Amino acid sequence: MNAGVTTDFPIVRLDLESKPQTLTIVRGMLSGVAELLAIDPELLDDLKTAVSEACNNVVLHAYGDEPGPMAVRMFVFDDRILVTVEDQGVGLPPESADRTEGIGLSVIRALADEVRFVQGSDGGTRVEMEFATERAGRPLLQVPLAAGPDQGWTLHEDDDLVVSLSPVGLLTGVLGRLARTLAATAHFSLDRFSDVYLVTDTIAAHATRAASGMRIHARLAAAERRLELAVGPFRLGASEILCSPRDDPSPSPLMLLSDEVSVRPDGDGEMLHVVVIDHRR
Amino acid sequence: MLFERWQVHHDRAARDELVQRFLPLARKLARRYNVGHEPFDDLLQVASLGLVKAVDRFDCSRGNAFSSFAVPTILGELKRYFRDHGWAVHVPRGAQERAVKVEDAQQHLSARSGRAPTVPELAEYLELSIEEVLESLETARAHHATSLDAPHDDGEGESAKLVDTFGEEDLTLTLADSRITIGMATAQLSRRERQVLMLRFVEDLTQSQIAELIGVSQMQVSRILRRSIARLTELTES
Repeated sequence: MNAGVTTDFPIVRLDLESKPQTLTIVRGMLSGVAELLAIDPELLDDLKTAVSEACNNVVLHAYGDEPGPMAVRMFVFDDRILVTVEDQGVGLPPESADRTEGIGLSVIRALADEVRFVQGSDGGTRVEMEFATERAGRPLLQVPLAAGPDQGWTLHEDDDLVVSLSPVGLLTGVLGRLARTLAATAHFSLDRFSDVYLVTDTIAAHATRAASGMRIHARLAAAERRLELAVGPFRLGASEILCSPRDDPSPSPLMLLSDEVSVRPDGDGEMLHVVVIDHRR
Repeated sequence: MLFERWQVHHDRAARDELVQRFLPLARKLARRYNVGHEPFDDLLQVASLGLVKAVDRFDCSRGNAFSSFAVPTILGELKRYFRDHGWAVHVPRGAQERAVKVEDAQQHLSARSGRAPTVPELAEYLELSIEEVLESLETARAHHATSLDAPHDDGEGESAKLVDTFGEEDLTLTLADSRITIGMATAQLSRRERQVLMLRFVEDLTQSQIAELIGVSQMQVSRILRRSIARLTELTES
């Protein structure tokens, strides 16, 4: 039953800062994954609610009033989904007795089939939540191909978030949701916000054809009316086609929709860097 | 102790007080399931029922916290309610209604300020969270997938006529000025798709402006663009 966390690879790793908008981002990620895995809606509700509580706990308690790094990982096994939420903070608050504020942990216990609180690798806390993926003999999701090893990018600036996905197809549902959440909080007008759909669709479609391995990474950062995406790794030379300029006989749709598109070397392959700005008057 | 007064001495006032005291807990849990399926009051009632059951069944002699007993009881009640009503498998009606509200608000705010609103502006206007607005936008898009090319009836028919002012030749997206020639690939696109692409990229209009020009909603323009760009990408990469 217990295939250990260390021997398998997560289908999703999401590294981000613990801020209030974090919950929206994490739930968006879960919805995006659910789309590809065809997760049963009721199970998805439970996942979202329990994982939100675990994340909320990090936002509220792990770093005092400050934001701090947190990581959400999702594993899919034959009979269950495992989601872990880890921080590097002060450790778990004592489980409060009758105070209604302390219900987060009770909610997690009520919704997940198994819950463990363990010391994280960086001294903080890791909440491990398991959810059975079968109910009354009926499977609650379609299991995708196995995930590839995760030796990818990590968080390195305060305001960015990094997601690592395997198989690559997960990018289709996840990238758009993450990008739209950031664009919304970065005050994009709906016109430019809608362009973000097209940008992420194009990148995700490219990824299914040009990714160089079993895993794809994306780094997203937003500032006021500005969204930056870096996605990779792709096979060397595969992304050039996305950069044909506006005055080229066949301009790249991505180029038409974005303010900047560039390809940069990354390990043995390359990564795609895209900037979308809302220039409204 | 209130639990003793109720469970041992059957003091109804003690029971009422317990329910009152933990009502915020029930409300909080009901809110977690308030995802637009059903009026919040109904959920609150179901959660309160769960709370009453928990108060009646709680064994205070064991020394456990009441909330750790009450939460699963209340959640169980909420989940059973959802299961009984089949919402997990049906398209939530409330979510669709909310999507319509978001689209109306979008048009209203655009008209008021002369530009497309931001998601936070929509959220504030509709007294929803940013996440709820985002979800509504997703729902609206899924919904529009079926009515993509249906004409938008604005009651006047004036704007729709503009479509016809563009001749077929113009729709090849070959404009000397901008030197944009998506050319061959666009032959695979429908007339409307080519037209929207041209207005967006050659004329550099916003989606709202295009929507007004050709007499469809901004959401439909977005859908058309999305579909045609996807096809273009496919064609240019193959």
